This record gives sequence, C-alpha cells and structure tokens, in this order.
Amino acid sequence: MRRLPALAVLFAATYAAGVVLLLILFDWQYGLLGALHINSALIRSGFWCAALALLLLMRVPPRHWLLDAALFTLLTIAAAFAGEYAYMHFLFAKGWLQEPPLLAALISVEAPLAVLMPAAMAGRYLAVAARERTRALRVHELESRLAEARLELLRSQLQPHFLFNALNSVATLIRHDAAGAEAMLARLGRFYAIAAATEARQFVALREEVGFVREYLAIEQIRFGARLRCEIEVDDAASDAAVPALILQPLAENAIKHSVARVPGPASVVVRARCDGARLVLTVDDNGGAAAGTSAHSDGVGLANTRRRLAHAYGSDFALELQSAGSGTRLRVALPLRTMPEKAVA
Amino acid sequence: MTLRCAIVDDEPLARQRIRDLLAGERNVEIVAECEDGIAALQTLPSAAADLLFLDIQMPGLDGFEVLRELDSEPVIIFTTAFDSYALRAFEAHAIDYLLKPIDEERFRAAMARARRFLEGTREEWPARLQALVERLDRRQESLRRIVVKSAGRVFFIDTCEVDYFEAAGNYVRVHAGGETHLVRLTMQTLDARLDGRVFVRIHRSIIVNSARIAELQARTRGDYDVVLRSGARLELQRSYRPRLQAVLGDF
Repeated sequence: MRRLPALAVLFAATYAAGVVLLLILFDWQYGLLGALHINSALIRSGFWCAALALLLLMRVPPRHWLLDAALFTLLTIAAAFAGEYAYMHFLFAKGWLQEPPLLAALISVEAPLAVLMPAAMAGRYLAVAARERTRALRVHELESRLAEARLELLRSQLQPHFLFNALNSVATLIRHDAAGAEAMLARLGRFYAIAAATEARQFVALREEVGFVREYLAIEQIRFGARLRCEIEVDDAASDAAVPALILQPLAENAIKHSVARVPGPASVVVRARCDGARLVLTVDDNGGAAAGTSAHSDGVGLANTRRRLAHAYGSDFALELQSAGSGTRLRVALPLRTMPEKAVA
Repeated sequence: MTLRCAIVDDEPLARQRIRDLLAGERNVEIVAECEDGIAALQTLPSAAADLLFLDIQMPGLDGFEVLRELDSEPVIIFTTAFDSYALRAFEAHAIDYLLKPIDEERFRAAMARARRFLEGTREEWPARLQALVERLDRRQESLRRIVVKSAGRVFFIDTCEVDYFEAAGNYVRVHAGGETHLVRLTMQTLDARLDGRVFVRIHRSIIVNSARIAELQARTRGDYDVVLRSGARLELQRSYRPRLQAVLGDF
C-alpha cells in the first residue's frame, strides 16, 4: 500500500508519454483529426486501466463489497466521463473539432465500464476472501495442533500407567526411603505443573522443554531403578533456542517405551541438544534394538503427531528421522535455529 | 499351611511393594522373584508356587504371555496400573487382580480369597485360566511370534521365519530355519491366530507358510505335493486344496 502513490505517478507519467508519442505518430499517419479521436479513446481506456490497477492494489474489505463495488464503479465512470468530456471540449474550444462533444455518445462508450468494474471487483473480492480464509485456517490449525499435543500429553501422562505406577513406587518408598518418597512426589507435582503451565504458547525455550524431560526421566528412573540409565546433554548455546511447546517429552517417552518397557535387561535413554550451524539438532538414543525397534517407533501415534506438529511449525524446513545406532535406535530432529523473542524469555 | 508365593514384576519398587504387603501376612513364603516374563518362565517351573503375583506390562514377555506359557497352574493375582480391557476380562472370568498403587486392604482381601480358594477344590481353575487366555487372544491381531521353551532356555521365533507347523499329539512341531522345536500349542489355536493371508492349513496336521512354498508337484489324480524352499515335501490333503487356492490362486 505504501508504494501506491509512486505506482500511480509512474503509471500516469508513462501513460501521458504514450499519449503524446501516439499523438505525434498518428498525426503523421492519419492527420490531426484522426489522431485526436484515437487519443480520446486512449484517454478513456487509460482511466479504465488506472481504475483496474487501483482495484488490484487495494485490499477489498470482505464485508460491504457489493456497496463498495457500486460506488467504485460509479466513481470510475464519472471520472472517465469527465476526463474525456473535458478533453473533447478542449479540442472544440481550440477549434480542432467542428462540433461540441455529444453527451449521449460519450455515455454509450463508457457503458462497458458498468459491467467490467463490478466483475473485476467481484473477482478481486473472491481472491482476497479465499486468501483470508486460508490464513485463518492455518492459524486455527496451528492452535488446534498445540491443543492436540497438550491433550495427547495429558492423556498419556494422566493416563493411569504413568501416574499409577509412579504412585505405587511412592507407596513402597514411604516405608523404606521417606526422603525418596518426598522427592518423587515433588517431581510428580512439578511434572504436572509444567504440563499445565505450557498453556497456549506455541513456542517455548528449549531450556523449559529440557526441564520438563528431566522431571519425566527422573520419575521413570525411580520406577525402573538401576536397570535404566538416563542422560541429558544440552549445549549452552542451544538452551535459548525456540522449540514448539511439548515437543521433546513425547520423544523421550517413546524411547522409554521402546527400550526399558520392551526389552529385558539394562536400558538407556540419552537426550542431547546442540547447535549445528543454523540448525538445532535434538537426538534421543535408546538401546531397545534396531530393526524391530524402527517399526515399534514408527507405529507410535506420538511420532506421527510430532511430525505433523513440526510440519505445521516449519513447513518442510525440518528433519525427523530414525536411525539405527549401535544396539538401539536414534531419533534425530533438526530444526531451524531460532531464539525466543525477548519478552517471552523474560 | 505355608503359602508359597512368587512375584513377577519388572519394577523393583513394585516387587518391594508386594514383599512389604506379604510381610504382614502369616504363613507366607516368597519362593521366587522375577524381573521379567522370560525369567518367570525359567524360574517358575522349579519354584512350585501356590500363588503368583503377575504384572501385566513387562518387557520381553508380558503377563498374559507368561500365563499362556505356564505349565503349572498356580492361583494368579494379576497386578496392573490400568488396562480396562484386561480388567473386564478378569471380572468376566472371576480372576483376581490388584490395581497399582496397591491398597493394603484390597491386598488382604485378595490374599484371603486366594487362601480360601487354595484350600478348596480348584477343579474349575484351569478352565477359567484357559477361558481368560482365549478371550485375550481374541483381542490380539494375528500371532507374530512363537515362544519356545527348551532346556531351561526361553526364546522367540518370528512366525515369518517358520516353514511349517506340524501337529504332534498335544504339541506342535515348529519347523524353522532347518531346526525343529516342540511347542505346546494346538492346531486349532494356530489356525485361529496365525495370519490367514500367509499361513494355510494344507493337511489335518500341517499348516504351511505360503511364502516358503517353492513349487506344487502334481501326483496322480489331482493330488499335489507342496515343496518348500527348504526342500521339505508336504502332502496336500485334497479337502484342504480350496484353502491353498484361496491364498496362491487357482492351480
């Protein structure tokens, strides 16, 4: 919109130059009178083009578009009519025309405008409305994805298994290790507090996500004891990076389900985050076996949800892949490295 | 009478919880503790337990698979954090269960019931367990692996690696990778639970993996032999021919 005046000036200048050029050209070709008549048609079409250009540049408000169309059409016709009439009258006053301009004739040549303008206007309106709708839909979808992720998380966490198993551990700890029981309860409390506090924020600092995963893994660690080894390694530089809210914990949960809950014997889950140039790279390693594991992973609803969420947040500018790594599976996610806006960090 | 108890659970604190609760009971002896299903199948036969606390979600072999493979039939109290399908199944077949976190009062009641049950006749118990297994089987998609127990070892065979199954009395001989394993299964169970698009019954006592068939050799009067890639030659019983045609197409 800011470029509109400049464009208008450019258009008018080009048009005037064209008119003068053609006037000279036609004068030589058809004599003065013929050139003058051709020019009158040129002026008319110039108005039309200007009006159409204006229409394309204008953002038509979705409401009242019929009224707008009618007004705009009337104004354009009036302007074109006045312009052409003035031009003809000028020619007549100079004595280049024998008769004064005929109103009826002018009106009849301007008549097509009455059809052209509303049609163009309607087209323009439809295009703008469609674009608005797509944008609204996208925003809505982003919001609903986040809501979905939160629900999914709450479902899987409020889901009896996690909570009830954790509480069962607490029941045991109370008799043998009161401090341990207290610590476990505090962790459970913090875990649910973070899950609830994420609210409707689309992005959070990686630091927050890692804190969440830390609580989660600590709880699982208490449940499974020495069998499970958890590690979290995060580059300082990566801590401030913005990531979609609740993106990391489901990946850690997936790794737990895939290793310690599936394969007997010692299990490990390692979560890493680092910066690699302009990318933020998150990896979650487990030792739940590779070949069979890949299918167990990809079957998970969680991973499909994660992929959908990443696609909505980053388009195609992300990678999510499962690799065989040693005796287990590595889930690797690469995202564009962005930092949180200041106000959100504070 | 001293009650011989066994605990099967993959979480150490969960096992400790049962131990704690059992400590409050009289005449109880813990004869086995296992941290997963495979360990349970290896340990339980020699433990001669009367009462088994069996967790459902465990790595490797879950509680239901342990139940299916157990040769003895101790009274079982299932322990689980939550599984609505399983809970309905337990209730339908009057099999006791404890929900985690395990409540002491509920535990005492379950123990009292188990004792009464063990003191009475338990004639209908195997049938109840059998009915539970069948009900749980119905929920699952086709059988993907076979549990083999041999010489104190427990291992799995993926069904896609099996050449064919052969009936052998109350057992089934599993032919896979040039080896033969005896497994306690019935042909009916296999027929019902194997993936029907791959496994075909070609004889009263043979179910074949159709992906392993190399050729069909005509014999006299429209009879055929099924030859597998392993070289094994199996007889196609005429009445089962339509089943094989349903999988391989007409021949």
